[in-house]
Amino acid sequence: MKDKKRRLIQLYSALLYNANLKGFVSGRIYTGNTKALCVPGFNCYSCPGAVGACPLGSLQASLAASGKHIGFYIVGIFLLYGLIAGRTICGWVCPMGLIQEILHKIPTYKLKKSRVTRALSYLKYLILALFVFAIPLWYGLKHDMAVPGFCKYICPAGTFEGAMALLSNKNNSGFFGMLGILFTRKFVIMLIIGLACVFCYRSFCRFLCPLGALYGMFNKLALIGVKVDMDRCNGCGLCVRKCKMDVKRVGDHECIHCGHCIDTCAQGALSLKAGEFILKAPAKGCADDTEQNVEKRKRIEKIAWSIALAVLVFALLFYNVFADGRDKKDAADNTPAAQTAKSDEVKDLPSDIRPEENVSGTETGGDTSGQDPALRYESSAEPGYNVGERLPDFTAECFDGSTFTLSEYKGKVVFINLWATWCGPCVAELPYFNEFYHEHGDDVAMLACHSPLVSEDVKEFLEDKGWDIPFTIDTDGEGVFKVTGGSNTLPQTIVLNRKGEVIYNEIRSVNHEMLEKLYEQASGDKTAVETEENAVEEAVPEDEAKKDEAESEAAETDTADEAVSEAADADMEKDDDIDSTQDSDP
Amino acid sequence: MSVQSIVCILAVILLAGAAIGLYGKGKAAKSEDPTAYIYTRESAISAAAPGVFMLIAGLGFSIAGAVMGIRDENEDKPASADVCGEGMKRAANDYPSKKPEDAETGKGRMYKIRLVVLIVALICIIAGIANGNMKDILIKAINICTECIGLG
Repeated sequence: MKDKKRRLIQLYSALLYNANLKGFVSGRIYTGNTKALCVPGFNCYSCPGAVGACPLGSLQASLAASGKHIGFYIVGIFLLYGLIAGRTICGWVCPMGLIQEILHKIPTYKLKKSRVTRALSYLKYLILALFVFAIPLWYGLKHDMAVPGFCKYICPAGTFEGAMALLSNKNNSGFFGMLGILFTRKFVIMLIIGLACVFCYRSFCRFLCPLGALYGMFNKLALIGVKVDMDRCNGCGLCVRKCKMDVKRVGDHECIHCGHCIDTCAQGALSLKAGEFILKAPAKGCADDTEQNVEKRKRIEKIAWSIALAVLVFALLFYNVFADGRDKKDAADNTPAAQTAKSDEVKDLPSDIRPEENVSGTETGGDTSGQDPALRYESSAEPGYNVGERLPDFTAECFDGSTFTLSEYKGKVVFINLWATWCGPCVAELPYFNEFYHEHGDDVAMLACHSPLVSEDVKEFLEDKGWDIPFTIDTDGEGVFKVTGGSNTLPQTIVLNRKGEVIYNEIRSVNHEMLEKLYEQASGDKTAVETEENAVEEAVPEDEAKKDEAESEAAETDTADEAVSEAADADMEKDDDIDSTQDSDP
Repeated sequence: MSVQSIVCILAVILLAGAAIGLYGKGKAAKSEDPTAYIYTRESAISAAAPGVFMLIAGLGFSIAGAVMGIRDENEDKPASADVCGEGMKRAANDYPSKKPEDAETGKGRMYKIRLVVLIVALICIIAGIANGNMKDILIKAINICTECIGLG
């Protein structure tokens, strides 16, 4: 088995982990049930192609949620993968490893391993303890917030496979609104790690990767790995010297079992084995190897490759052609045609969330005199959730027993927040909403709707927090989430002006300043309507004044006319006092 | 080799500089209008263009180097014996010192440990499915974790 086969297996696993190729086109991630299964290698689950979960991300999510559910599943997964392969996973089936090796192919000066690199290799254990264990546990247990420390502050796989892949898709232009210091920092970290990989073999893997640190602990126990034939080994140490990883001996916690040493060992003492089964033998063959075994191995290899190919074809077909409806819907929702069709779609919504008919039937800015003041806030905009459209009416049952009916809040600025307990940024921004609600409660209506995906008792969670804005949950995703265009990306905030028209609908974290600004923008309509009303009210006295003036003028004119006629009479009669008649002429 | 190194470093400097520059400008705009975007698609594309050009140039050099068979001389050189001395000594001392009977006992013990770990792993996985941990992971995985990927 030559190194080309390892490269082929690396490519194969990268493709298998990211078999949802259509996700790269639609810009949407796969949302099927296979995402519950952790892949062994480092592969971000927010990558549009990913069909499985990242083990490290899952570990952090489990630790953050350990106050509710103990992470048995992820512990079992790590034990299983560690037992089967240990760090062989890093060397053979990790997409991040593949990327690093490709970067290292760029022909530049290469930094050799040294005492410095060996010392740096212990950094990953510190990162594992601090970013993977301590931060998620601290925030999870202390603040009920899911903060995946490593993903949030370091992970270059998340930046490259997740953020860059999503942002490069035109359908996700809205995501640019979210970018800030976090992205800038992670982008620069990704670049630095990438550059380091060019000059120094697998820099991320050797110095930073906590997944490698975890798998490394299983290296001695692992079933698959490079084994040493103690009878043949003469302790020359060439294997260690030729190895690009910071190993002290073959198979230690730094060894990724890539098998490079097998070819370098002049004694033929090294072989890659799965238990007793030889996967890669030295050129001179293993001591316990027979010709029959070699033939058998070749046959098994052919069968294994055939099965692997069949699995890949099936996976590609399944994820790209027969994928589940939820994913198809998500992808379809993003197309411009689907966006246009939204207005028609809302007409078919169930009665409790169906948009009301335009009661007044009048155009905005038309003659509103004599109408109910509430009707002045009626909008003639098309129903929908995009900016400029009128959000269809809906009713939601809140946790406090009240009912939130959108149409009842005409004339108020409405804030709708889509959130979830498992979403760190969502939980972080809710205090702003609560504070804002208390400041503007009379003029503002607010609703926070939890995602249909529930990982804990939301009511209990809210009781602990003490927030008192109206909270609801969209149990099937057909309620508030459907009406407002909610997706699998949170948090999302929708702001409606007093007519119920959407002025803001973005997936983005907000703070108090932003809420105030949005309130100002939404209140602009009130100002306009009030100005109209004031104009009408002011027009009445003005008209009356003008009428009085006109009447008095008319009266004066009458008096003048009378005077003129009298003067004329006098002229005619007496032919004097002409000046006085001219003075009184209007 | 030096050309490639310079191109790589330049590309990273340009891209990092573009990101930091955009962030600086965007933050100034955001201080005036809290709803303003720090990054926009258009600004990101225009700012990243020089860096991307440099990356493409680097790729071109790499392909040319590969075609011409240019390789780094020190790539396949082993690390110095001085650096690896400690490990080598240990390897030389450890491996031959193990007697065959010790190795057999060790193998037997290893199999038992593996079996125990396998059973524990399977029990943990089943318990995790039952207690909702697997669902936690599914929920996290089917939603875009904006924080995880650095979006915000």
